[in-house]
Amino acid sequence: MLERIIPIHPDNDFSRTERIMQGYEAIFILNPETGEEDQTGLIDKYKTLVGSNGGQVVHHTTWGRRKLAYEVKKHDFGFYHLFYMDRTPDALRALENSFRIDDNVIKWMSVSVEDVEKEHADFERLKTEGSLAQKLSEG
Amino acid sequence: MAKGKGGGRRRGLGNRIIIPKRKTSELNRLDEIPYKDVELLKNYLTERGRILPRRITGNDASTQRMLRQAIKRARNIGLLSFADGYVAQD
Repeated sequence: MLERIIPIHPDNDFSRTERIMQGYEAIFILNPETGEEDQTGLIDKYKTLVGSNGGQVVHHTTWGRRKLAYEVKKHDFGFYHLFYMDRTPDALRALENSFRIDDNVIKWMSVSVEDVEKEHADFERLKTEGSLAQKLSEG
Repeated sequence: MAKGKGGGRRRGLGNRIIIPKRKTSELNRLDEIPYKDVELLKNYLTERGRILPRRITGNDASTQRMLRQAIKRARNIGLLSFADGYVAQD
């Protein structure tokens, strides 16, 4: 259980008591040359892979085509995708192993998160409302 | 400097010890620092992409640790450059 107060999000429900889902956030960058259909195909493949190892991809989000801060495997751009998963170590291991083999995935990273739903909501907020930097300076 | 009979002690304002006002950072209010928010992280990097010290930003110790973690993650996944810090999208 995790109950923390985040003052900059006044809409946060301070009184919630339900169990939070701990899990992983897997962020991976797909080769910029892969087409739309190929990407959805890959995403489905990874989702079923996680499922077959007892895990569950709770949310899948894309960050679209982004310029990379540095060259990765000779690429300047990449398609960012994020998986929010429940905490099943075997599923994450299987996913990481296939990322390692797959040439379409040029870079990836997985992070352990305390609250899958919150992380997902925070990221959606970042995408729609922009950086926290401005909100902080406004007070 | 010539020392007077009074042991060199000066009277008045010069005798005061100046305690600098502690800087505070807005980041201190955050519960966690999202590594994906590069627009936020870039404010805590030098032009060459190095992490600014607490002395300058006014982050408290735990905030600085979270910031360090976030910046390292952002670098790892290609959101920030190791050498040039923030790289703008086109």
